[in-house]
Amino acid sequence: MLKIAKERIDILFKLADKEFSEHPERSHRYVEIARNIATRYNIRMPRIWRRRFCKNCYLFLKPGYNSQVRLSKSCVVIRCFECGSTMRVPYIKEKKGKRRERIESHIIKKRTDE
Amino acid sequence: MITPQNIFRHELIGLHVMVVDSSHAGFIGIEGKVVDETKNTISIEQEDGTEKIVPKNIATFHFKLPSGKIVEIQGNVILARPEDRIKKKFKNFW
Repeated sequence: MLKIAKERIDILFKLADKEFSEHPERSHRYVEIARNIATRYNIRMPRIWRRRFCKNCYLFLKPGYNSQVRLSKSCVVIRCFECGSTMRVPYIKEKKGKRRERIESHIIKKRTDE
Repeated sequence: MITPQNIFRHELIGLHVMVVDSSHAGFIGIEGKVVDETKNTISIEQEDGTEKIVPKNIATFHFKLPSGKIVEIQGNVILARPEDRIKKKFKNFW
């Protein structure tokens, strides 16, 4: 049952992406149905679709058409042109992981040299 | 995967559909893509671009799956909100 729900969310978002250029109101409706399914069966939104709708007005977002994506202060900033709100998705964890990796590899190198 | 066994619970939006039987003669023969679904109706976009809204409880539909199979469904079987159909019991219809 949960598998069907996940598949349906995926189908709906793909259709929303496809229909946006000609019928934006349809893609907004598909996002609404997908969110209804996710909230009813307690499923997390798939990672690829989590940034594709506004968290304030719940409309479908397509970068370059009704949204803007920028990087600032270790965050992905997504601005919705429909309602004017901004979402911030931090990527500081990835940044710190990279830094740690670099330091560790440096230490290992030193040890092998000794 | 949409199969004939789980189409009652699966997504109808995006499938090709044809109305084959109805108590109102004007609905018979409507053919096209499903673009929206509510509790009591299905809206169908025909090939010339017009949208028709068909009530579920009086019509019989032929759905064409992505695999090419055609399934006949009576409208009163799928009489529920799109998110409620996943958990609905279809025991007395089999």
